[in-house]
Amino acid sequence: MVDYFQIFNIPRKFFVDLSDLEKKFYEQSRLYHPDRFSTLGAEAKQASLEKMSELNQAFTTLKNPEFRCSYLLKLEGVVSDTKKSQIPLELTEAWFELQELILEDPRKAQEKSMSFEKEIQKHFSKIKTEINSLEKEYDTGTLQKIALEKIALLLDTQSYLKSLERDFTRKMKHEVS
Amino acid sequence: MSAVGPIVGIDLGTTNSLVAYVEKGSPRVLSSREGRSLVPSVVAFLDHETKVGFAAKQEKIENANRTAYSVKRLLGRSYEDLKSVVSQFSYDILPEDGVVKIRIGGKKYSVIEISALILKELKVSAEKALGCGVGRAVITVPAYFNDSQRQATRAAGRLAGFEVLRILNEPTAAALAYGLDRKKEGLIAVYDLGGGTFDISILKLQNGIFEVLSTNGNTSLGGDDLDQAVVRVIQNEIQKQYPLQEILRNQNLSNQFKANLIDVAENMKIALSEKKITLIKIDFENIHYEREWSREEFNTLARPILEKTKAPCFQALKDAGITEADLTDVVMVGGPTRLDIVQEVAREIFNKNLNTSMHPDEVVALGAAVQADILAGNNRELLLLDVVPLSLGIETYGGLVSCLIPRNSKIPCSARETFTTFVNNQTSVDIHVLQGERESALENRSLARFKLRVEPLSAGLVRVEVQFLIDADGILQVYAKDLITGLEQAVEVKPSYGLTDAEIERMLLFGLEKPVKEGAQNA
Repeated sequence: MVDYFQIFNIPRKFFVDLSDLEKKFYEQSRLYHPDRFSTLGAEAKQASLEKMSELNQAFTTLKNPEFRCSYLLKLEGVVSDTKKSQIPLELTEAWFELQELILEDPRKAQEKSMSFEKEIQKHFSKIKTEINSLEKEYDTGTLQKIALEKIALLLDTQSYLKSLERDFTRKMKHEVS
Repeated sequence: MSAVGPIVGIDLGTTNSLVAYVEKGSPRVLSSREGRSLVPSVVAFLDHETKVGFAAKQEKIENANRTAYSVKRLLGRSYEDLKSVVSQFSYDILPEDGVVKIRIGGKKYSVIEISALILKELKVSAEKALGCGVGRAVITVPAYFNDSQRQATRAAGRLAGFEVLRILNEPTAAALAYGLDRKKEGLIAVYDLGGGTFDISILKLQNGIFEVLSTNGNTSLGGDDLDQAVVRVIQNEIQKQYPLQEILRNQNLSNQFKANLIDVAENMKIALSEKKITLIKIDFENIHYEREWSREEFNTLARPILEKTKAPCFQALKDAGITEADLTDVVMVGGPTRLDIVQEVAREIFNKNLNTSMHPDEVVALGAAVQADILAGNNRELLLLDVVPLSLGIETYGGLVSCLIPRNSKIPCSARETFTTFVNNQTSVDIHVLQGERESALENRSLARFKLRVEPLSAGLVRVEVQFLIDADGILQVYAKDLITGLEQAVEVKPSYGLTDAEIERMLLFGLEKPVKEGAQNA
């Protein structure tokens, strides 16, 4: 796997100095962009095409905190143990109840949906805070492996929440209107 | 084609085209053979000669049947796509093999051929102005042009005898010309409304780097649509007084009448950008139409059309992750941005003063020349980092699209996907590449279909890795590699609505001036 941190010569950390990253991306783009090779031979052109695609991919990945987070886990070879991932039970139950209510009493379901939405957001921000503090733990170099594994589990929960939120939005739009 | 000599920048527009070149560090528009800066994108096929530019534009009414204009609206598109607008044109547009052909005097021309004639005129003009052969060019396209439209533009360039070094996005080109003058830094929006297309691009300018953050647009929205709105009103008014069907008794008259109305509408638009009221007169056969039109009335017709530029702007801001308040400047590009009403709509979108200091007709060509200078290696200070306007994906089970490269990804970029077989001894895998933002395959543009040849093995054993690469022109290239045997295979992606390289080569041999005769197409 290509180490994007190495490409830009920045420390392998969750925290990235974005203006420094951008500066380095610009520097390398000046050297490798196809515009610098367009009057040269096919081989040089192709090489610059491949190199610049990689630079673009690396920059895009490291610039976005979410992409960066999952990339760093992959780079460190951490895979989440799905058996250990935690699903917020009370939220799942509330969702089942809400779905029943949609069938029985759409208007009441509509009212309740507001507080359900808030509940989802509360879970999201809780996960985010936890991930942030684990990221700091990793960056400062204490119990790095454990921090990464915990982050992996939280990301699982997060993606579960995202799909629940998607279902919820879709259902409220289609069935209660 | 020469590997040395000047590289020119070309704006191949819906209404007008220009060629520009950088000399002593600053770009200038080269004058045409007719001694003007603009070459109207019009080609007239008369009995003994083919005219391009102002000379062709003069034939637009009398020889309506033989004069092709606004062909950029047809470039790289299917007949299916254009069905609802073909009746607006005053020349014959026919479906053929999925694409459209233009029929003039018993001969059929592809849109690429006609575009090539316009480019050829620019080539000859540039050669005359510079006093040497000109074989290489940067050609601009609307940022929101899809893969087929870009390929078609590149094919037209090759057919005109150019080595096309870059297909460049128009708003990006404009930003380059704008930033060059002022050495500006910050976030800018380029609002580019042309004759047939609308683009919005958001760029970050910093230290000579022009980084496109997002782009959006509508490739069927432009000044021509404002003209058409006027045409419809005038036509209705005439219809109330005259038996139009009787008067327009043949195709020729009907096309002449159409061309006449379009001409009147175009002139009205220009007149009303300078004064508040203008007198419109039409004398055609026994039709006599005369009345005053006010700017207010025109604006009322234009408003709903221009409202359509709003959603793309909001989406582009959102995709760039900024709000209009973050913008340091809004640069207006394209002829129609001279209109009050266009500026009014743009101000409503961005809530700020607009920068109208750039020459709206010339800025794109000037920017293309600057990019040509960069490619020539003369300018190491500046660099453009552009994006792909539309998401690229492949069709998956159930007619859905699986996105491989999201819109606004920086280019060049690539994505890899591994394919396998579902049936024993299957010898090929079908791949359908799509471009667009919809979930369902049918609602997106089909870019290419191709078959990967695979070893006949048990189902699921085959593993072929396909690399989808979008180059710096925003054009797709495909490579396939069998992961079991390690063999690479060339994948020929036949453009859905364009010409293959082989077809272009054949046409180059055949010669541009000799159009293919009707019926002899596939001989």
